[in-house]
Amino acid sequence: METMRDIRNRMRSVRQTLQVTGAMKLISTSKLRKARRRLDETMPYFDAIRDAMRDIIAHAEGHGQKWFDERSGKAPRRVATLVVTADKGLAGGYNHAVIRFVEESCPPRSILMPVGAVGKRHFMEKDYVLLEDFAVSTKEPEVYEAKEIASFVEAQFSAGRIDEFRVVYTRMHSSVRLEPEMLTLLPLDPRLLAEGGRREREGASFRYEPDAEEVFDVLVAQYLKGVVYGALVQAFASEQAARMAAMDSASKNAEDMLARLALVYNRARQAAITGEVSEIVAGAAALGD
Amino acid sequence: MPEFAFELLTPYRRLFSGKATSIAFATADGEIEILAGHEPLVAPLRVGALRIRGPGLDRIAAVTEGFARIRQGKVEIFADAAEWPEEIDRERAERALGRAEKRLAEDPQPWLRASSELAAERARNRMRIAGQGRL
Repeated sequence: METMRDIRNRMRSVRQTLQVTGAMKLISTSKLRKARRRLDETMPYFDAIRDAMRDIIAHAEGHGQKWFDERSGKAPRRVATLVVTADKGLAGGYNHAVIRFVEESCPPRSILMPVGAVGKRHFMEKDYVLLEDFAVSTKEPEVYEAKEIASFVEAQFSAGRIDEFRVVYTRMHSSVRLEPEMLTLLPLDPRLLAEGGRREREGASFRYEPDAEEVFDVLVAQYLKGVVYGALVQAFASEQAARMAAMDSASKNAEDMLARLALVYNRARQAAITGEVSEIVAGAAALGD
Repeated sequence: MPEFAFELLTPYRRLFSGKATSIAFATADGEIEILAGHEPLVAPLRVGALRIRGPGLDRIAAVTEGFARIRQGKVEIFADAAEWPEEIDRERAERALGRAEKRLAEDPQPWLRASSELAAERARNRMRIAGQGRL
């Protein structure tokens, strides 16, 4: 049986853990609030730019062909995937879910572009080719970071070094429903983008100024940047929501454990007192005889 | 004057959403003005001033790179960043200009020059528009 001192030590360590998880929960709660606001501000842009691309692509009429080219005859056809994880753990299943999703959907030796230290460290040891480390830190994502990623991808795609570009990130459907999701950004897929394109039939085609090819290059750059940024913001909000939930349940567990330990401690204390009393009683009885 | 729906969107926020009668901005080919009934057009947006006129409205905003989509009855502008004159942080723009000029002066690598030149242009544009306020 544990002595009272053992139990006291355990209670102290649980209490310290509780302090840490409680503080982390508070931090992620406030970060989540900020991330939510950022997400709400970004979503109209994110939705509108996808909608605009759908409309433009539906009326592309042979313009911007190089961005649609699937290069299906090419071998090997190189597929690069941007993988967004967190820089830190202690976020429940957040990182693990993304990693599992990638391992299921990307065959060995495919190209990964990890964003976030956890993913990078994990995939470094696996059978994947890590293309570049875009060190987006745990602070809120910024547009220029998305711009860097987008212009890198654009250049690699144009030069034929990658033939397909996808993004795996965690989408926040609600604060309890976080799901990894994959978006294929390049080559542009007229079918995918035309889905739900209610303006498909509406209106004539566009005029492009100064000329269609140049406009398409700008559009693709803006589209990539916009969608990558949207994905980073989604992932950041998801990370905070996951960490908050994980720290909340860790704090609850610690509280439960403290309550149980208090019970055990009191029982041990009572047993010790009872022992002492019976010793005294026994001693007194022996003297009385 | 006939009106049309206009939206000015950036990744950080929606700066404007409402009715306008005229939108003027800089494209690669120079300044263009959009009035109601403009033909469908997609055009890249240059760093510069964006002027919005509408019923009881005449405002100017500083915008950076992006593109405009013009569809019947609706104009959308997607920009990397956009601010009203009163929101512009002049000191920040001055610092950005200083950084960009320093980079241009000491590192003449051609592929770095382009981005530094753009950064300087954005900073100058912000400073110019911060001084204008309401037209």
